[in-house]
Amino acid sequence: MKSKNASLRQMSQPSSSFRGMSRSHLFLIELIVVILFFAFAGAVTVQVFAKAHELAQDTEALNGAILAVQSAAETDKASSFEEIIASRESGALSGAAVSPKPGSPSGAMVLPEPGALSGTGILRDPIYFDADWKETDPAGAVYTLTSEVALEGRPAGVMAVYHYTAAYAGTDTADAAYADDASADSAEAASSGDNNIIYKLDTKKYYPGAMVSGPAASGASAASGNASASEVD
Amino acid sequence: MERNHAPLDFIFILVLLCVFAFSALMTAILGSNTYKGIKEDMDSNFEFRTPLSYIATKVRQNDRIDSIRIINKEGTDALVLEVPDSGVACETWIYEYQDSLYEVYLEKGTPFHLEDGIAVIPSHGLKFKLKGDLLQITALDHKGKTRSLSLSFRTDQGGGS
Repeated sequence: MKSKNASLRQMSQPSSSFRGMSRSHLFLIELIVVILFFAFAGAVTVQVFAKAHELAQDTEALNGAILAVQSAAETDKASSFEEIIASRESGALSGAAVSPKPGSPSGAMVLPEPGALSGTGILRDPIYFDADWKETDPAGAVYTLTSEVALEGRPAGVMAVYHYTAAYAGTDTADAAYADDASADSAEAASSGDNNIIYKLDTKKYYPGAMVSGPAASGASAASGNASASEVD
Repeated sequence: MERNHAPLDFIFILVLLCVFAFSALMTAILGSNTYKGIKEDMDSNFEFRTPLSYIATKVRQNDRIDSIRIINKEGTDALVLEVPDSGVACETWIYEYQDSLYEVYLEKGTPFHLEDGIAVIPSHGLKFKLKGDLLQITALDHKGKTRSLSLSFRTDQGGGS
């Protein structure tokens, strides 16, 4: 019995490294270790919360972007070829001719002969949206929607290929959108490249009978034939 | 001479515990706010997307020449889609009534009241605008935010508003 008590006393005594430390010191150390552990767990949890919040914001932005892009595409679908050509008035060349020719007047787009239109695009004025996806001025913009039309000549008409890019304001979407959409799917949320791009959509519409004649053709007079074309794709 | 630190140690531990408890509370509040925000966003997305998608599908299904129009009934704008059913001209009326998207399908010319329809999904506001061959639908969520969707018709609807 005596030897058993002695061994218990020995076990309850602190080891040699903790000799001289009071019980409160040991408790404090234990408490600090536990708090450090919980602080680490808390930091991880806060990061998870922040990530969840960010994902929710991205989802909301994506939902708004899809509706905005779809609306823009539907509006273009309802537009005639003359109206599409007229939209170049305030736009600029893009695509294969992203930079207007030096010395050329603003908006003076030269449309090649039918059959040689591929790669020529019309970069239209961006539409600016606020945080609630309402149209606003550039100063208050949170999101932008840029659209671009590439006209491809066909034997009996013109194929208009539309590129829509919804992005956070301040993103240079013109280059980013055109840079990697050559092999892109018809619709995709950009996952690589510029992370500020929220959503991209490519559509096509065929205008049978539409023609663009001669260089520097005036848009309205250049288009002819049935403009209420059926949509392809 | 050895000084007694016991009261200081006790206070320090108590303060440490208080800091820990406060941090835990803050983390829980932050988590709850984050969850609340995510839920609000999801609710908004549902309230925007569901009626817009539903109506867009309905319009696509009934896109026939001169078959889509907007009629104001009892002070509420309703989207009316006309469709022949076994040789009889029938109409689908879609409108917002009592915080729900209502739909009623009936023979053309049949008198009815807004409450006669069937509540399909919750809706906090719905506006229709017909301009040429473009239909603009605006949906509101429970916070009053709006999202719009434009739809172009494949067939000629004769314009109007």
